[in-house]
Amino acid sequence: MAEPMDVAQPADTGEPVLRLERVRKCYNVGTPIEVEVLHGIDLEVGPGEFVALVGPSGSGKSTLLNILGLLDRPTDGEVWIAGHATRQLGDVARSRLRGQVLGFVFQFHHLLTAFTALDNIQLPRWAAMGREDDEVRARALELLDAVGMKAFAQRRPKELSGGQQQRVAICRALIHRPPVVLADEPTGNLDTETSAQAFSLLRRFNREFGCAFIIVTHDPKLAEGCDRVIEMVDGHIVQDRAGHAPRLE
Amino acid sequence: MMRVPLWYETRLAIEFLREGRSQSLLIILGVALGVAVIVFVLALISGLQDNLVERTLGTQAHIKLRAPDEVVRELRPIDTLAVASQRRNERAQRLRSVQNWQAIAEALEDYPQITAVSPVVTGPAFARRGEAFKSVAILGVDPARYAQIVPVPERMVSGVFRPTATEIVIGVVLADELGVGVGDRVRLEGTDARAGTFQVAGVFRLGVRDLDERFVFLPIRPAQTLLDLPGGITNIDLTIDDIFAAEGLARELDLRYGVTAESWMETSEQLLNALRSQSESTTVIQSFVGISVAFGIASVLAVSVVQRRREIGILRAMGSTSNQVMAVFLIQGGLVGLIGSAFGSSAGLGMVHLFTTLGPRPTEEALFDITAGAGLVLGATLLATLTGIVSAHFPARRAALLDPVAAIRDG
Ligand SMILES: Nc1ncnc2c1ncn2[C@@H]1O[C@H](COP(=O)(O)OP(=O)(O)O)[C@@H](O)[C@H]1O
Ligand SMILES: [Mg+2]
Repeated sequence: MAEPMDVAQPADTGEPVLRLERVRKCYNVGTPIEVEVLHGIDLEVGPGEFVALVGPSGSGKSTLLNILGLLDRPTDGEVWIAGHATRQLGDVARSRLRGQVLGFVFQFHHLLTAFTALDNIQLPRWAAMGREDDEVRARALELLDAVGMKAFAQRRPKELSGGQQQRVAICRALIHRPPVVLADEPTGNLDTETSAQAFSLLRRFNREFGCAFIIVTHDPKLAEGCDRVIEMVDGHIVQDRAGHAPRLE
Repeated sequence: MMRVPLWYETRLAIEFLREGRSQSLLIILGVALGVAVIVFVLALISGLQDNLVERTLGTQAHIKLRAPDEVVRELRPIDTLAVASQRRNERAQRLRSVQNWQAIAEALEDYPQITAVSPVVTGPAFARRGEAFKSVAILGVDPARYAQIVPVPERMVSGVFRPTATEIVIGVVLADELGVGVGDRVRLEGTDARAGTFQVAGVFRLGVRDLDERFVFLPIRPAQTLLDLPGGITNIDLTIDDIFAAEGLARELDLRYGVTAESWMETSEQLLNALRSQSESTTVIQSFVGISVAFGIASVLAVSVVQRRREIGILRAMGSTSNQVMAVFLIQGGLVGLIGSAFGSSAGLGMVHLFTTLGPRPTEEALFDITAGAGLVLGATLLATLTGIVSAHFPARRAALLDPVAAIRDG
């Protein structure tokens, strides 16, 4: 399969950073229990957009996010990430795109317990570069500083609170300033206050770095704080509108 | 900063092993134990083999060339005497010289694998001293050349290994039986009542009773005279660098020089069989230990893959390719093999040392000499590392093929 030589950061041309075209996803294909959970989704997300993805449980939000994140392949349709059509790409190219163009934040922060906070943040760059790098390290420290955790750089995940771990995970997703960050219920596991803090952190990085964010959330208040709210029901996008809360400029 | 191949994968492998402390330690211990057993057994067996080979080949040529067989098979020198007394009257047949032996000996010198060439004239005789009368085997040799075949000079009990026209060198048993020592005179009677009186220049002990009882060394010329074989020699003794190549080379020399070449492998078939079966049993032991070590590594890593499912999913989400994930686990296997075998070889060498200093000794005079060389340790280490990588293959493949979505969701 074709592998892109190098995935450069896309120029800010106003071109969508993400584009889905008639994406369908079926599970258990070819078996009696085959189900279609995404029914021909079309979606575009522009550079720097701050998008909430909402909808009832089981409506296909995670499935959609995994397909956007190249962790899963659609049964049908095409996914463009930063201008790259991904359908024909093999594992190496998809992995490279994930590592360079995408950032992930999960509900259960998912830090590697064997590494310090600082190393966890650097890991995506290490995977891509195959070596340590002073600049990457400096940037990781900057990010930790930005989330108020510079003092915890050498701590291991076990020595951090849930909220602190999620802040480290957010730093990790942003270490390479990806054009797109995908967050699946990033605050689902945090109490109200901590989750509000984490959310405002995402908002801040969105403003500072210009990364587009797609955030799955069940919290209507958080959702309305986004620029755009996409609602899914039963594998369809049923609503795509602006957030209600006035943007704090 | 320099780019080190597999730096990222190795870093992950090390941290994973370090984090799974007790598991890693356990499996490293297992590998160490296996390697220790292999090193110990191999050192023991190869020591034993060296010892056996040394004892056997230390007193005989690796290959003997003699005149081609006639209808009646000619007897080998040692056998000659054993049978001589019974078949004295049948032995009308004369000793036969190797045709053109000077040219053959010269040609043999040019073979790179042949390390020593020694023409020998040998045949039956009697040694007499007063009333004592013994049947012996005369060996007419060039002492310097023959010493390269059998290190007689190193085995002298008294005197020197320097036969001359008037001096002989005899075995310690014969010396006892004749009641002679260095400086005493012995009369040798050869073919057709050809006889001479010689002074004993030295007494040797080769450690093989038969030889110590019968061998009488002379220079080539007086031996030719006694055995009535003027200008002739009965065999050309050879040593070679790779003793196990003896049979092949013997067959080659047969054809090329029209002689009968007999390798030690033919004459010492029993020894060879013993060596072979020992090698086979060590191979069996090695294989079993190797297989159990491999299964140990594979199962511990398989457990680790299950435990790290979610982390593997995360690594994939953060841009690690499935090949990188695979390499992480292969390297873990290799590291376990490497570290385990480092400890294991040290332990094995320690055991060898203990065994040689405290263990049983077969005979009092010959200490069982075991040398576990650097080659053995290096080989064991390399093999264990390779075993680690190979046995990590299945768990590593499973890790590489994990569906990141399921891994992250289910953990
Ligand atoms: N691996 C799978 N196999 C079968 N069905 C699945 C699988 N993953 C998700 N589903 C189904 O797809 C639908 C959408 O799931 P999901 O995307 O996780 O929804 P959400 O994240 O919105 O709660 C659900 O009905 C779920 O049961
Ligand atoms: Mg979900």
